[in-house]
Amino acid sequence: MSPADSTEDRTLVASAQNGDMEAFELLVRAHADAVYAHGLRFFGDREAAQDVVQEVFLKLYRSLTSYDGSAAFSTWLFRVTRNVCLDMFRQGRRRPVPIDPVDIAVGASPGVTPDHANTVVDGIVLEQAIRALQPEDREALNAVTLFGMSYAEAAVTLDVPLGTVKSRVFRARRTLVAAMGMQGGDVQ
Amino acid sequence: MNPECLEAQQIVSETYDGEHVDPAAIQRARQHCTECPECSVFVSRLAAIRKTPAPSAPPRVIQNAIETIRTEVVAQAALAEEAAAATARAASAAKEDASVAPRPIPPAQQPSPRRLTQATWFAWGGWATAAAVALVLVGVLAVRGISYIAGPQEKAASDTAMITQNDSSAAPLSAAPESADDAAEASRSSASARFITVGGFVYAYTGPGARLPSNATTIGVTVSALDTGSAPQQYSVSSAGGDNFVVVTETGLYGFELVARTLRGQSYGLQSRALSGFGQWPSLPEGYAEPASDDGSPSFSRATSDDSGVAIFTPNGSDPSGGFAIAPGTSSSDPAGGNPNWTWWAPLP
Ligand SMILES: [Zn+2]
Repeated sequence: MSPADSTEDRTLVASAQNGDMEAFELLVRAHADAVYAHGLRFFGDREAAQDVVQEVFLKLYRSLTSYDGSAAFSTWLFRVTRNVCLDMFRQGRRRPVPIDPVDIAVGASPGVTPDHANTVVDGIVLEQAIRALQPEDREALNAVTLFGMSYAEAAVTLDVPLGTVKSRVFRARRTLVAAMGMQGGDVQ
Repeated sequence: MNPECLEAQQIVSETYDGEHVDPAAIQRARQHCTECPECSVFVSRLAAIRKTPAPSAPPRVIQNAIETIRTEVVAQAALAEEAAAATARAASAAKEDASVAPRPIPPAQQPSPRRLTQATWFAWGGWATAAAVALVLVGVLAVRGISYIAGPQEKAASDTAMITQNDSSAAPLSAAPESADDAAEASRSSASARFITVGGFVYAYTGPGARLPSNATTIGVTVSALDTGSAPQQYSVSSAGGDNFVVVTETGLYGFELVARTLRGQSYGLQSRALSGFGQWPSLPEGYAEPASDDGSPSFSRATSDDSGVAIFTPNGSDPSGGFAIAPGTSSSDPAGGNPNWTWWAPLP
């Protein structure tokens, strides 16, 4: 996420805090994808991801007055999204769909090219591989790639040292790269 | 792995994320990746992964989220408005009660803090939150052109309260059955389904005539046609002491009680999708798929039984303390009796 996006978010949040519902709707539209993707990767189920989107934005709306802008909006959003998923899981309202590692290894993608400079990745297989990551690695990767957080912001939010975020994101990437090799993303 | 490869790959990964990396280190990593086949593959695959879009929320999902928030905004406004009106009513009733000897409420009839807490939480987090959010709403409603009566919420003094069950002075109820016999005669058809939902919890109709006590506190709103047969309207729901709740309409008062059951000494309240009028049976709340078979699958598995032998189902047969489902077909004395749907019971604090 660029600093410009971040500035725009702050402006929208400020407007929403002043009662501008349309500003809040713009925030929902701008960030629903990240929340949905996080929910989908957590539960592996579209309906559950839909519930996550509903609940996250409702929670954000309800707590608008408590947001003081000291953290980036994306950081706040990520924190709420993460907590909503964990709460839904802990309360037994949703259970993650188990992942079958075979789906990742065998899900050879059509349309692959033998030239690894033009590697193509099957989005579905990639998502399966992301779901199969260690939860803490997936969380760090999502914080950075879906929510546009810096490693430093992710470290604060996840309450771990900066170096831990670095290694989790890197471990996630290496695992994904390896998984894409298993499913024939390119030929070596 | 060669430490040089590891370092190069980590630098590439961090650079992709926009992290600050020493330019000289980037240069070294770039050089290494052009010469090292393994790192070259890593870079190309990483680039491909980066190009692959993450799942995006379907437009319907976004629209649903927005609609939910809009509904809440309207509900909040009604709640704030009703709270102001309730405060005014309480003040006027307190004056009235001062002239007659008040009958103190026995402790057993006083509002159950536990149940009130639960219901109130769902109704926008209680008075404090409602008041705080009202600040936002002033602006929202100004934009949307909805009339809004601002007013501080107060819980009126409880020592002047009076509850008169079946008080003949209360306005008459329109067409609702007035006795338990009537209710029994309605058998198990949808006519015997007389429920409302407040904050996701289900309240069963108990009969007309409960006078709104002077210390009534609004616990939330419901959108229901009740038994009027006309379009659903939004009503505030007030606590009338103990487990009694009252909906005041233009034609009279409707009494309700929270539908609850106990399991291992813990109380659980019935939750449901919104019910827009009498005649509708509570069903599983949003987020729970209707089981395809009697054994609860694929949504639930049988976890245990309660003291009456009613089967308790949970997702994956997990511990029921976080909530559980009941299959249709329980006896008429069961809180879920007569309901043709699966029901969900959430713990009450
Ligand atoms: Zn190398």
